[in-house]
Amino acid sequence: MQENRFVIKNAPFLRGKEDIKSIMWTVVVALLPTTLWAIYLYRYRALTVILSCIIFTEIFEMIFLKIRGVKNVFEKAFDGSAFITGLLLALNLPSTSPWWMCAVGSFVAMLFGKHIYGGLGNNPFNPALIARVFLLLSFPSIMTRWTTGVNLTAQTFATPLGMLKTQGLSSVSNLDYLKLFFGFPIEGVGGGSIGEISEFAILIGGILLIFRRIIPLIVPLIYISTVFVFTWIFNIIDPTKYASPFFHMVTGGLFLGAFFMATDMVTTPITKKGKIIFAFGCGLITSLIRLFGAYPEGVSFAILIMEAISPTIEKFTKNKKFGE
Amino acid sequence: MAKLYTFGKSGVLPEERKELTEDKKIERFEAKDLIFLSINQHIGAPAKSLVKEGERVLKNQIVASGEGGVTSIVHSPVSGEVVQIKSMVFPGEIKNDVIVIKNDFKNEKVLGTEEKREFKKDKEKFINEIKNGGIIGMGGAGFPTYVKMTPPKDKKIDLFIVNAAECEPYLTNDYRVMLEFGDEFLSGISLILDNLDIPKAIVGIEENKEHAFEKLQKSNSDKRIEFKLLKTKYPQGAEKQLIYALTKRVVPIRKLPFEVGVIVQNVSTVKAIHDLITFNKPLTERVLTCSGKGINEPKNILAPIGVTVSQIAEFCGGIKDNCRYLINGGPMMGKPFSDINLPITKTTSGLLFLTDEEVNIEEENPCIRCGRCLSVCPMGLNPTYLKEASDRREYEKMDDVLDCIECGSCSFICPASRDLASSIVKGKQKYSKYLKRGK
Repeated sequence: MQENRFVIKNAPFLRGKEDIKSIMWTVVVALLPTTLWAIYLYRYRALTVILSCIIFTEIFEMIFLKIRGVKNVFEKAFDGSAFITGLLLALNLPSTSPWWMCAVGSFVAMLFGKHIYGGLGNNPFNPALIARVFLLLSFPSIMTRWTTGVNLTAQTFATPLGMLKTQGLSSVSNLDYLKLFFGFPIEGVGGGSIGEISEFAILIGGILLIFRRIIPLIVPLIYISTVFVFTWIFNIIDPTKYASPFFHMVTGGLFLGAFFMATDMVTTPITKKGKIIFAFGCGLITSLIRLFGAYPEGVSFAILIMEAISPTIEKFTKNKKFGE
Repeated sequence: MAKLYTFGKSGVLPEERKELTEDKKIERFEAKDLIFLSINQHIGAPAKSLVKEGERVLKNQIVASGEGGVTSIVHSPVSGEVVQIKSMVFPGEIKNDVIVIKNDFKNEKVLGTEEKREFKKDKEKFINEIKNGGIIGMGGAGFPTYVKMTPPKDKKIDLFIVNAAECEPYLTNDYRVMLEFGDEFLSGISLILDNLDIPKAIVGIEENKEHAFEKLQKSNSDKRIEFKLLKTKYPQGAEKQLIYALTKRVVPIRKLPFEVGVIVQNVSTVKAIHDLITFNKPLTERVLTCSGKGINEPKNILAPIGVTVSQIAEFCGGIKDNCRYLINGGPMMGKPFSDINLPITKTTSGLLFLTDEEVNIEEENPCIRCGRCLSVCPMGLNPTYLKEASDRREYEKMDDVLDCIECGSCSFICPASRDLASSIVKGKQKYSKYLKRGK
């Protein structure tokens, strides 16, 4: 008799094709234009930073998975999530970052950003951002050593946002916004973190994620427009003191943050209304820091602050039930 | 191209896989020597056996009947002798008494005529016949039809909807009924409109059954009946979603369709009502789809209620060696069977014999909070939150489980392969018990 040959599992017996791996690796693919452009501009320096971050992140991921007693360590370590963290961390660092600092960052990201909370899905903050802010506070001088790119001398310069903060509006008034948008190096101007130089490259990846329905359009749209409107208002109030909103669009980590970090599934609200509030908050805090804060750039802080209140936002933005 | 009706942006698009049986004509399967009649085929109070072991029963004779407001009646599909009344374990560890009847193949019957009988319009008599005919919702839920047809007196019903969405993959039984028993089906709708004094009917058919849509539209002569094509999307046939798709009427939360003046019945139920009213035939047989890559000859079958899975499997050329899943119903909401000796019931719309190639349930991973379950949930719930709360019995967070329609869209879409729906369904039972205990 073959009576008990049947497997008992719960309905539904058909499941969709998208899984964690396909989502994560698609995000990696979406980061490729940005990554390749960084490698083109900063050559071996960018390559060193990117490889160090990814390799160390994967190593620490495996170590902490093992310590936590997770089964199939190898498979879990390559579900793409740690790879993204490593890559995102690298894209948030200057091209001159030494390999050992990448290692420290990877360690912090994996331990204090992820596994201490119970691993994938449980972390309240984006691990790459935790690591970036940790490094910024621990190694402030290394973390602000910006080169122009292509020109591989070690000479460093301030980024446009840094110039604006310390030297005033006149120092950035001649910058070519289109060059900044496409990420072409400008003589005497620091390029910033290796992943934030080309808004255009980020946009290509972002559009891919929106079309693949991995990130919702609404988050980058609201984040970026909030910064635009906010900086525009101040630009209208006093155009001699506040830069044009277009300047804010093409500088700093706004696009990288809006498309690849404010859209992090794990650490942002799960409800649609919550996502909108989250993105708006990010835009507001980013603008406030940029215009009035001590730091020239505020994307990392803005996202981390909003992540801290994300559970509260989620609680107050319950979906409407059908028939309610 | 006609306009396609649908229920908004939620829902999912599973592979349809109807090609296995959609062009196969319904084959009649005659009862074998033994019939197994469960006394609990419907929602509501279980029926009680009215016969004893050793007793002779006739075809169409009532063998079990329930008491109370919501219950139903079971008839014998054959004449023969009651050989045993035994307990059998159905999915979900539910034990039901089953009346085992030995078929004497004499086909001696009490009810049922070959000739049409005249039925004069009479609402009370009509509903009473439906109750005594043992008719229940044959789409899968098994809600007694007479209860649906007796809404509170202050609720005016102005629309009858036929649920012909058949949104479950694999299933083609409703489609075949509409194609092959189109006249009976249409006449069933007219009978319901006549007797319940409802001015209008809408038949909602998914786009992938356009053939049936066109055929019925052509042969229909009752001006009260309108046909509407629905977008092929799951769960298009969920009652509240279907009503919304066809009429934009929203059934209030935790209320029934009569609140918005609607009664909904499934295709096979309508046909059963026709057979009952016109030929005085109680519900003792149904059309079901036997499909999947784990069975040799997938078919649409007209089978007596109470025949076993193994008898049907044999009729369909036998079960293949690589068959790993046996499902009663569709693949989205059906129940897993482990025992091929279990009988089919009035709600068995399909028997699926599936292989590992067709079923892709992976190991559960942690939730990455992607929010897909929220966006596909047709009821607007937060499935991942409700799963956590249900698994941990956090009753104060569980109230929304009562609104879950158990469609399984959340589990289908989850990239972490989490068993959201089944946790929430279990949570529903836990929470209901908790409420009954009085908190």
